[in-house]
This record gives sequence, C-alpha cells and structure tokens, in this order.
Amino acid sequence: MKNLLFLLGSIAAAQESPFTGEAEIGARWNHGVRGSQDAYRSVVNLGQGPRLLNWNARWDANRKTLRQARFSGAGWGGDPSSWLRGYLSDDRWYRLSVDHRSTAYFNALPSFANPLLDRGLLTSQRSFDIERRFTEAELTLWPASRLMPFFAYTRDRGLGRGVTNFVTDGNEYPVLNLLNDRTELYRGGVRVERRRLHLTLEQGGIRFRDDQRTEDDGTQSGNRPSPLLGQPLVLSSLVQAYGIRGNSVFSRGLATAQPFDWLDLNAAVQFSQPRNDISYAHSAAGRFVDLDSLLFTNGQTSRLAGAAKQPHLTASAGFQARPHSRIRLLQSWTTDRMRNASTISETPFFGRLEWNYSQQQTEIAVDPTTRLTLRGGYRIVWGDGMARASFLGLEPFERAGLRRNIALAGAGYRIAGGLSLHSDVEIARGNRVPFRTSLTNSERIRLRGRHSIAKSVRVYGTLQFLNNSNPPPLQPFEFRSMQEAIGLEYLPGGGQGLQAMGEYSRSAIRSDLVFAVPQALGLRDTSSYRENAHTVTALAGIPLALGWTWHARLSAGGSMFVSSGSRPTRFYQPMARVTLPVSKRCSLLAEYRWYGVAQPFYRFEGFQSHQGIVGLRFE
Amino acid sequence: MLGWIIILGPLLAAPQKEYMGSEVCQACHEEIFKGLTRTPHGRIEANTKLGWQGKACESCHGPGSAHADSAAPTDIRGPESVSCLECHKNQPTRVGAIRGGHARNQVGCANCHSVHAAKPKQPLKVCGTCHAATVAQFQKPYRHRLQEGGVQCVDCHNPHGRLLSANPLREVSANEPGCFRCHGDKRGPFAFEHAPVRMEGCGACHEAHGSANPRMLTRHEVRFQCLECHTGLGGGPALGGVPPAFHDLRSGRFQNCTVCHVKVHGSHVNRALLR
Repeated sequence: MKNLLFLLGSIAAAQESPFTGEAEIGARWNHGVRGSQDAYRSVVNLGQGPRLLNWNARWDANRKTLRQARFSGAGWGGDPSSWLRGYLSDDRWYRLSVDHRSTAYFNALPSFANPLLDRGLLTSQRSFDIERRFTEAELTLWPASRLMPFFAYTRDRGLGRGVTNFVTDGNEYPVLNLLNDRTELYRGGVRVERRRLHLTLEQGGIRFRDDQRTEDDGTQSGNRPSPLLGQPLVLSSLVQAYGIRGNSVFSRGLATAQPFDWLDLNAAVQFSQPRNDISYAHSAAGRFVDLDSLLFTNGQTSRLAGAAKQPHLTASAGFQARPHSRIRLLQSWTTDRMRNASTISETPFFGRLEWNYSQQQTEIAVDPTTRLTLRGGYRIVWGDGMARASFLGLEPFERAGLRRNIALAGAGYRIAGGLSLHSDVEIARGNRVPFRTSLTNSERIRLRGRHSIAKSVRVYGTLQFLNNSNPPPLQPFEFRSMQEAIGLEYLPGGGQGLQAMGEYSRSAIRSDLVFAVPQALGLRDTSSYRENAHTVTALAGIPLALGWTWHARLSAGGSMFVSSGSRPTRFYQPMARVTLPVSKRCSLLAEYRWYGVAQPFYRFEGFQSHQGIVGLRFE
Repeated sequence: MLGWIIILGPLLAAPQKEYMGSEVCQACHEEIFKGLTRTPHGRIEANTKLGWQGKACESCHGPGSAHADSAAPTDIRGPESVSCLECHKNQPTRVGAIRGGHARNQVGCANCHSVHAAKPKQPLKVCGTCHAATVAQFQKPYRHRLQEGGVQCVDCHNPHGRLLSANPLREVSANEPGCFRCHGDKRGPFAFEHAPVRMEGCGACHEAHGSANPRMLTRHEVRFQCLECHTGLGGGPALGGVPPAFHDLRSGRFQNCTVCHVKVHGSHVNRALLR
C-alpha cells in the first residue's frame, strides 16, 4: 500500500517529469443480483469492495541502462480478470516484456449438461470455478543489432474445483472435481536481420503436469431413475486420480529474403513433438454392473498407465514478385502433417490419428491506378486423415480426404487519408472434406470500408456473407450466415468537447443438418440452428459546465444484444460515468452499470444486477 | 530548338529537394517530434550507424526542403507514401504476410501503428474500426473478456500474416494454435484424441469471440453440436458419421452428451472419452 501511494504521489506530482501515468482507484458496490446467481457469476462475476481499477505508468528514464519503462494493469483487488503488463528497454542492449494475467472462470449454468432438468433440478453436472494464471516474460538482447538472441518463459496454471461425472455402465454420478494443471514453456533463439535477409531460429521445450482428481464420499443414486434388473445402482465412495506428466521439444526456423528489389521470398519450418506419460487410478465403492456380463459388483478399481506422442510438422514457403511496378504475383505453399499414437495398459485399443493437409495459393494483384487494386487467383487445398473408428464401425479405422478448389477475387480502393474500400470473394467447390460440418461448396464475400468525412468524423462498415451447401455423397449441410456492421466516430481533437461513437451490427445464421434417431428406425430429425441478432454499442462524452472551475465530464452509453431464433437472448449493459476534477491531476469519479440477461427458453438463467463505483482518478 | 532546350532545361527542371534536419521540422511540428523521441524510432535521431543522425523525420518523410519552403502537404511524403518496409521488410513478422489478409489488401502500417505517438494505440480500437462485426460478437453473454482487457485481439491473432495452415491464429510452441497458450490443459497429446480438435481447431465447436450459447458453443444445445457430425447416417467420406452408440436420443438423459463424455476434448485413458 505504501508503495502504491508513493507511485500515485509520483504520478500526481509529475510536472514535465519523466514520470507519467494514470490510475483509477475506487470501491464497487453491488446491489445484489436478482435472478440466477450462478448465471450472473458465469457471465459477469464482478464482486464488490475496493479495487485498483486500472492504471498505467511510464518512466522515460533516458539512462544508459534504461531508456524507457512502461507498466499497466487493471482489475486488481479481486476482479475476475486482472492483469499486469510491463516493458523495459534501453533500445540498444535489451528489451524486456512481462505479461501476467489472472482470470477467474466460473461456469455453472442449469441448462448445460443437466439430464435432470426435466425433473426441475437446476444443477449443472459440468461446472467449474477455477482460476487460470498466465505469466510470460521475453528478453531480447541487442534489439537494434543484426544479431538478436532472445529468451522467453511462459507459465500457465489452472487451479480450482468443479463438478463432473463419474461414468460407469448403466449410470453416472456427479462428483467433486479438483483441477490442477500447469504448463511451463521455455524457448530461446536468435534473430538475424540484414537489409536483404532475415533468419529466426528458435528452440523450445514444454513441461506439463495435470493432477486432476475427483472425489465423492456420500451415497448417491446418480442419473438413472430406476433400478436395473431389480438392483439399484449407487455410488457410495470414489477416488479418481490422473497423473499426467508431459514434455515437448519444438523447433522453428523462419526466413525472409529479398535477393532482388522485385522479389520477396519467405519460408518457415516448424516442428513439435509433444509426449505425455499417463498414470490413472480410480477406486469406487457402491453397486455397479458390467453390462457385457451382467454381473453386479460392490466395488471397482482400475489402474492404467500409458503414453501418447504427437510429432507435428508444419512448413510453408512463398514469394511475392513484382515484374512491373503495378503488378504483383503472390504464390505460397503450406503443408501440415500430424501423427498421434498412444498405448494404454490393460486395453486392446490404442489411439491413432493422422492428418495431412496441404495448400497452394496463387494470386495476381494489379494496380490499374494508384488508388485501385484488383486481385484474382486460386487456392487448392488437399489432404487425408485417419482416425480410430467408433465401437460400431465395421473397420478399425475411419478415413477421410480433403479436396477443395477455391477461386479468389478482390478489389481495393483507397484515397489517402479519406476513403478505403476492400472486398474479398471466395468461391469454393469440393468433393472431399474431413467432417460433415466442414465447408464444401461455399461462397464467401467480405466487404470493408472506412471513410473520414472530416478530420474528426469517421464512418466504417463491414459486410460478411457465407453460404455453404454439401453435394452428394456427403450428407446435406446447408449453412448461411450474414453479418453487417456500421459505425460512426466523432472524436474532435483534444478530447475536451463532445465525443461520440456508435456501432450497429446485425448477424443472421441459418443452419440445417439431418441426423438419425437409432431407436426409431428410419426416423430422421434435423438439427436446425437459427440466430438473428442485433447489437448496438454507443458511448458519448459530454462536458458539464458546473461553474468556471468545475470541468466535469459525463460519459454514458453501453451495449445491447438482442437475438431471436434457437436460443433467444437479451443482454443489456448500460453505463454512465461522471468525472469531476478536484485538482489539476486528481478527479472524483462515479460510475453506474447495469447488467441484465434474459433467455426466454431458459428463464431460470436470467439475472439483473446494479453496480456502482466511486473513486479517484489520478493523472 | 535543341540549343534552347540545353540552355533552359536545367533552369525549368524541378528544384532538387534537400535534407533540412529535424530541427527545422520541429519548428512547426514540435509535439510530433517530441512524441517521436519517446518511441523506439527516437533512436534514429542519435544513432550514427543508421545513417540518419539528426534527420529522424526525413528518414521516413524524405527530404523536406520544398515542404519547409511552401508548408504544403503535397511537398512531402505523407503517411500513404512512407514505406516502412524499407527498414522493416526482412523481419519475422513478414514471413506469413502474403497469406494474411492485411498484406493482400495492402493495409498500411500506419492504419494500426501510431508512429509518432508515445502511447501505443489500443488494439481493440485499432482492430475494431475495420472488424466492427467481429467486435460486436464480444457483446454476447458468453465470451472472452476482451473489453475488460483480459485478452487482446493480438493474443490470439497474428495481424501481420499467418503461418498455420487453416486458420488465422497466432501460433504457440512452434506450430500449435494460439488457443493452447492459455488453455494448456487442452493441449494434449491425448491417448484418445477427438479428431476435430486437431484437424479443424477449437472453432469447429466454439464461437471464440462470443456466443449466446453456454460455453461459447456454436449450437444452443450440446446434443445438436455432437449429432451434426455423429449423425448415425453412415460414415460416407467424412469422419464420425458412424453412430457412436445406440443411445435413446428421445430420453433427456442422453440429450446431454457431455454428462457422460466428460473428456470431450480428448481423453488420456478412455476411448469413448468417458473419463
């Protein structure tokens, strides 16, 4: 706290000093949650109490060992998403960046993974309340030289608890799930940058551990509503433990070259070989059945060991040639090859997954005028894959191919500082895809535009359209989506007067796929998904004249998401904020937010929450 | 005639532009120059090896004598004409550039990077002005926490190009999709993989930006998510079409696939992804 006050004092006292920064501290007040507390925590999850809401600080030291230091952070004091970023550099000797984030994930939605919803029980059997902490640091030495060594360390950890199911023959039981995984990644390498050549060589490694556990010590009857052959199936105690230990080595090489002024070359080779050693055990007591032999038992124990390995190679190369100042030829090749193989003790089955993917793309871009660019070309993607078949498959393995031909076209029109318009069109035809939901015969259109009407007024918009239809012998899959968005910014210089921005977006999805219902022979059902959504986001800042010394500012706006279709949803997030300067570098702030979610098909997951913040802003 | 051309030609030709030095530029553009000195480009002004000592402004904008005389914007290279790639062409960011949409559409560096400003632009604001429809997806209830600053667009996407085959994601640990940077527990390798995770990526089932459906799924109920591949209508040329089991899909108990198939991203021990 003392350090924090010192920092804030330094920031506040800064007058043309090398220290600059801003900080907002305050206390959040939450007027309870009306509706589902679990849904509130799954969507918003903001608590109350004192917070360091956000801050950033900068020190232009201009010393021999430190030219500049920048730090920023937000959400300190218990918010579900908090972070700290730091950057130190003297430009000549080193450059160091640090990134730390902590994210609380809570998800317990009654409508998700709840087979007992019909009976009125509002408890998800797949929920979690965990925290993921992510830290990354990267150091580059001699960042302005031709030879730059670099080193990086990344740590990613998940820790918490939740609910999952212990699945046995004929029944499944929701049990406590203790989650604990950690990934540490080390990498280092060297970058060589010359005027006509660049080369990056990187070598890295990963250490991974997952010590997930499930536990239960009370008798429960699980999800099966009735006894099996007159015998109730129950679980009275369980300990299930995973001990996964993994490692991986990976290498990558990147290169670009410009042998001639009219030719750019690039290439990349990336290889990774992760491996996991598996140790698993469970011990359960209760009443269980083996459906193959119809034998009932009072206990289950299992102890398994195994390993999984996945060599994975990705390579790409390409060039851009300019035979004429107004003509560019772009050519690229990519291949991606992955093998997964595993063995597990006490089971005759072994896992297997293979996937080979290749892509070739050629495009020609022509500039008929300095403002207009036209592009045209084609892309071919092909590949093959193999995976272990399901239990009911006639063959031990399933195989699939990939073959699509895609015509490419595009245009760009730009006027310096004013208008820019871009369009992309892709028309694809294929006869082999790896999954039924993969795009096969599709048309995709993208349009984007920006226009600065005046120095302080800008409008922008996008349109995206995708249509897909699978031809025989693939099962039919009809998919169509459309997204349009338009935005307006009014940001006059200085930021003292009225400022406003607003965006409106509409999206529509329509998807139909047929599937079989095995118990009703010959009966087919359709998975139809519809979504027609409108999103509005707006924010305006207005100066409030409260006397000649009081230059208060009111900001108000928020967002609104309203959709109809398969899961109609309304999500409102209005807000208003007032800042009132009390000195040259200190302002009082007060903020109000409201969160409201409603899903008519799942009324029990709706909630509303009022929140207020009062605090101080230093700059 | 030829004589007149020889005599008057040099006199009528455009005056040769000359480098004036940054001190001249500062006379009118003091704030801009002050900002520039606080960026990494500021070292150009003092560095003797780069060859632009005292001429940091003109290293990008070209010789400024004509502009200094006339003060006309047309007499100096504007942002649209400045070629950042003269210095930044052979760098790692350029490796996948020709496969990325930005380079193909000739989106200029200054559209995203603030060259003079000491404070970098906020990634959300930079990306949002062109990708407004994508930013709108983050207003859905189940989403990544972009507005809170918990994630940034560039955490997952590589704006300079793409090195991975089928998706525009940033790569981690050489050639894995950027999702595994934070979701390390889903990385595997698993003894029993769920094929789409590896072959089509997380986007096969999840709307990574935001969704109205729980767990950011692309479908409103889990069973539809699963049944669209596991149709029970025969495999044909695609994976997963063989019915995985004879479940009674009419029963509520079997309409929540992930109740039993708890390890849907891949299992270390069970072929049916049950544990």
